[in-house]
This record gives sequence, C-alpha cells and structure tokens, in this order.
Amino acid sequence: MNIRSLYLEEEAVLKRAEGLLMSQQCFSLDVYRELYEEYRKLLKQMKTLVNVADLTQAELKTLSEELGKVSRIDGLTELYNRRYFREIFLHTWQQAVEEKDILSLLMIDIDYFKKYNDTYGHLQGDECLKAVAAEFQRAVGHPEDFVARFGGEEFVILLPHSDAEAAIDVAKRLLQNIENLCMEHSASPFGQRVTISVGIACRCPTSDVKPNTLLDEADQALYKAKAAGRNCFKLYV
Amino acid sequence: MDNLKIERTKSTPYIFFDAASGRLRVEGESYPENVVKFYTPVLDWLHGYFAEGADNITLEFKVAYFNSSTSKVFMTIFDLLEEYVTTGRMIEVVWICDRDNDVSIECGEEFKEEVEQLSFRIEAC
Repeated sequence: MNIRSLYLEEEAVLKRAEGLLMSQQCFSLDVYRELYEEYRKLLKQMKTLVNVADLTQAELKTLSEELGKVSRIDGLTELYNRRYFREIFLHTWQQAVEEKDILSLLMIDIDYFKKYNDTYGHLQGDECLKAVAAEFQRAVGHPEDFVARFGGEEFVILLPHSDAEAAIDVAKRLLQNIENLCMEHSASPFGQRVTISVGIACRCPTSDVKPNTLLDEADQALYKAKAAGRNCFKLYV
Repeated sequence: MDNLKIERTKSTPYIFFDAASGRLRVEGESYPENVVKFYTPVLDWLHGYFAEGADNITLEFKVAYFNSSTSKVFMTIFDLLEEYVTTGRMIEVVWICDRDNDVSIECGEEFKEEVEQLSFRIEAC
C-alpha cells in the first residue's frame, strides 16, 4: 500500500469489481466476501472523514463569526467601532436616498476629557469612557439606532428615519443621562462633573450629496456647542 | 535506517521519525497543496521501516489543524499500522491535543473509532 493516489484503495476495489463483471464468469462467495469487507472498511473510513471534516468546518464557522464580531466592536467600550459605523452609515445613507427618507446624526464629545485623563490617569479615563458609552446606548430608543465610538472621546449616533425633533429628544436624554451619572471631574467647571457636548445634523439624503456632508454638519454643530460653552447640544442649520 | 526529518512550513507539519528509538512525530498544521506529494515520502519511509523488521513504535500526532485530504492520509497510515499490529508488532498511536481544544479531542475520538486492534491513545494536555 502506498499513496501514489489518495484514493488508491477505492480505485483498486473498483478495478477488481469491474474485472469480475467483465469476466462474465461466476465467482465464489469468498471473492464476493473479500470485496464486501474492503468496501465496508472504506465506507467506514469515509464516514470518519466526513465527521472529522464537519467538526473542523463547524469550528471554522464559529471562529469566523467571532472574528467578524470582534472586527466590528470597539474593545474598550463594546460599542461598534468607527470602521463598522462607516459601513452602516453608507448603507443607511443609500437606503435613505432610495426611500427619500430622513436621517439624523449626533456627534458627541466628552467635555474636558484631556483634563480628566491628566487628573485621574488613563485607566480611570477608560472607566469614564465605558460608563459614558453605556449611557449613550441606553439613551437610544429604536433597534435601528446605531451608537459607535468614533475615536478617542468622540462618539456618533446614527438615527435612521429620525427628524430633527427626534434627534433633539435623544440629545436631551444623552445630556440628562450623563448628568445623572454624577461622575466626578474636579477639573471641569460644570459642577465638577463629567459632561458632554452634542452636535446634531439632520438631512433627507439625495444622490448629489456626499454622505460625508452629514458628518461635517454634525461636526460643525458640535463645534458650535463647544463654542457656546459646552454641556449642551446644537443643531446644524 | 536513516531518520526522516521534514521541517515545518506554514501548511505542512514537522516530521521527525527517529529510526533508532521508534518514536515518530508529526507536529504542526497540515493542509498541503498536494497532500499525496507531501506524504508519499512519509509512507515510503514507514514501509521501509517495517520492511526492516521495526518493532515497538510510537507514532505521535500533534496536529492542531488539518484538511480533509490529510485526514484521509492519516487513516491510510492507521490502516497500515493496523496491518502490522496483526503481525504481532508493538505499535501505539498517541493523538496529542490541547485540553481546551474540543474539536481536536473529538477528531482524535473519531480516528480512534476507526481502528480496531491498533492501540490509539488520546492525550489532552
């Protein structure tokens, strides 16, 4: 026995069976039994092969799903990451163009976060990001509302099918939730508590407008909220 | 008889068959582009080894990932070993796997069911 071919034994069994058939002679029970035994052995081997392949495939499927999940999540806050936000945002934008629907985008920044890190250290800074992220997730109402960490202390919330009024409601809830957290921030002028600033942009997307426009508008609104003294929201108009 | 040594690559395992001690090791991952080409020297070595009257052999498999063609070759090897066991040789296969790797353990159990007289031990460590 060697493996010049992977299926050498199977081929040998076939060849022998063919030879017997071609000879058109009666063959003894012993010859039949021998062929039967070989076939049985090879069938058992094939079943093992399939079982082992199934086990491996199932494992690969699980790993692939886990990897897919990990690649979409921000490891610290467990919110979606910027890469996945981009994917969802472009898809939602396109859908809104086709359905002539409205959508809103909130861009959020933690006020004086650099000072927070300087005061309490980066580890506590991470805890602050986690706590704030959880509150953002709690503040959205619909399953389609999409909360993501945009980078550093910046977050975005995408609200499909939502007009400015609905977006303002979410922004108010965000500010309220963070206020209720009462997270100490001795370097902040706002009652020495952690606060946020929110920029809101709202649009009915059209094919002649680039999706980044909405991001820019939310960013400009956020800038205005900061210029207005922080701990507030501003709507892009 | 010379030892057989094949260095590990990304898709093929490390093979070290020590003729003197009878300890034969297959270690790594196995999904060669051409499984027949890769394992032919391995099978040829085993044939030659047994032809020289080798006895008391331990074949260790520590293969974390392998494709279906490889599992077919493994079964061809087990089949060959089983033939020699029936002629009175002392042969043991040890399937070594990580104790946290359930799939590898289950694969070992599948192979174990495949053999009848050959000693097949699963070592989860």
